[in-house]
Amino acid sequence: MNDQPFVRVEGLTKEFPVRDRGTRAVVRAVDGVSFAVARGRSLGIVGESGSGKSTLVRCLLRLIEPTAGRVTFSGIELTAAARAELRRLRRRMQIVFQDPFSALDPRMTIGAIVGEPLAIHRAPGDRAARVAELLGLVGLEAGFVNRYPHEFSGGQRQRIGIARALALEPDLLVLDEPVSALDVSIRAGIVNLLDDLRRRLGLTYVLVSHDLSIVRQVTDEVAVMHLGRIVEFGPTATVLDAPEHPYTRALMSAVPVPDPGIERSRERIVLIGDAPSPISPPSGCHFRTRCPDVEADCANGAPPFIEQEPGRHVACLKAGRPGSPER
Amino acid sequence: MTSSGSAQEPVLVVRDLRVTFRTPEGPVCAVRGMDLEVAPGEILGLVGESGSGKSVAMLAVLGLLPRNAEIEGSAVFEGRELIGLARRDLRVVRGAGIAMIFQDPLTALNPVHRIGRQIAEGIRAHQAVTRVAADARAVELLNAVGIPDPERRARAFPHEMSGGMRQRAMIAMMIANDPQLLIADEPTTALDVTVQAQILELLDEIRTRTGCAMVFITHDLGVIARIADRVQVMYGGRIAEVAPTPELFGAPTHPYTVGLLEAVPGPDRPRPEGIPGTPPSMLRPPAGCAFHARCPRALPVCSEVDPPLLTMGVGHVGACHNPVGGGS
Repeated sequence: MNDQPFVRVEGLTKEFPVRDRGTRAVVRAVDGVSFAVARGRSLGIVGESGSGKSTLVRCLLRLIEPTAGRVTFSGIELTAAARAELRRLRRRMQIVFQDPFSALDPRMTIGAIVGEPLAIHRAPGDRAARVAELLGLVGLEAGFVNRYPHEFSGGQRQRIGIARALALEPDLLVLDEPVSALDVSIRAGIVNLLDDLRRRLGLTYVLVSHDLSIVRQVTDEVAVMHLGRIVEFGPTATVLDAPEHPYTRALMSAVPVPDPGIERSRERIVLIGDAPSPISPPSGCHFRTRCPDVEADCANGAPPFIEQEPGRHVACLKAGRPGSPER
Repeated sequence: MTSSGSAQEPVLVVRDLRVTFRTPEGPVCAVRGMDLEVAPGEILGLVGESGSGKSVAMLAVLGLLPRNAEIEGSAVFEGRELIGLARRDLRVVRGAGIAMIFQDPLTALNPVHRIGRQIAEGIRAHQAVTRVAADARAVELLNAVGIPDPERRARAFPHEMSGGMRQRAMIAMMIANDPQLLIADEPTTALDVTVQAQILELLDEIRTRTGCAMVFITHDLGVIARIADRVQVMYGGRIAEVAPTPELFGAPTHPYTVGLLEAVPGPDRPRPEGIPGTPPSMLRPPAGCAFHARCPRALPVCSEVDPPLLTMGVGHVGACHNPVGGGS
């Protein structure tokens, strides 16, 4: 495997104009985010609503134009690519959306949906055979080609969405909350499918989710976002089991565990108040107004993103410092 | 925490509830004979997948279903039969005796009225108080549900509040008339986990403070583990299993409950398999046990005979011909 990162994001920023009580303002949904993903690796992006995770992946694919920053995909600068080049690159990067009910055209057959990317990009070869192969890959019967989306359950529709995303043999798959709309008993099947496909096809994943169990199972590294910034980055198991940033710790302690023994005895960090408005986030660290460990210095400038140990970064003044609170 | 199985009379007793929707495709049997009881100060968790009938059953009890729904059975609240009650009489019960919290407070709140006024209106619909007194009470309630600066917030419109604040305002409105029963339908599903933790804390505190009973509808077993005293698991419009929370998680007997618990990753289960297949169509409910087609323990009898509810332990019943652990 080569050392050159496959996907590199540098200083990515996306601002949206808004009107706040009649005056013009901007929301910086993504605020100077940088990270890299090696080929064949899987990165999870977690955070609450409004943290900018979905905007980040849309900028990553240039589905929306970033305000500033660079995205490099396999050595090519995506953010500078001209139309024709962008179109060629898009074949190699695909996205699977959250809601399998709105992502499939109800008037198209399953065969037409899965085969559409092949038609758009004029892929050579026997299209019908390729569609049948794709359906098999995601665990659906080839005989489904002439049926319509409404005949399928949520889990089956999500498999159809995945088959469509795989049609052009992409290298990168962006998964935006791929199981959030599905019933609990169905989720595991889709998560296992995604896990298997990555290994089998050597895919690179960027997975956005607020469900930490899928992040744990499918990703190698994880980035925790809070109000447009990455506050913590590192190997998935380390970040989830031994979070360093106070926000990550609060997030982990808020996720309910299906075990009454644990649920009723554990220490819970319940944050006070609401997340600050993204229109006017607090100066310095955006988390300081809700942070249980806040100090005076936290208001002075964004905390630096410090590499605590190889591959593990935390943006907190107190992290790793002697006397910092025990996990 | 209140002990489950308390000796107190239940606030709500539902018996053999059946709900059928008439649709152009034919009758949809959403609820097919459900019992339910909840005691004062108790939180009953109602769990099931989409289409299991959990929400429809509670909406039927409140008379909130559309006209194409046929409702049979009995639901007795504080000694009064609700099924078949005239709309006007039901309205007295709703809001004052029973209140319902919905998943999305934005659709449940009126967008053109200020929060305080909406709460005051609910108070005046059920109590003989002046407008000034009701407004003051609304501010008190906003304060009680943890909304900072309640005087100012009472003058805000719903869209000016965050999701968590709106859900708190909704809860303030629902507890305004001191209901004996709160029905919460996925009240935290649309919220972030850190906000969910706050709302669960608030509901738990309201139960302790007011002693009201609560039916908490959710698909999230983590939330159930956190808040419910007892759990009722629904599948295909019927009860699969009812048990005190620790027992349901510790010694589940219905294969569906077991499958649901094992569908979530855990320390000893890094890669769960989930339950194969998909839930049955209620347009054509299967014969016998609704779960038999997906059940790893199915016997020939399961596709023919509907399993009766059997005692599996103290306060623990299950509907299965071949329960895990053999039953008792």
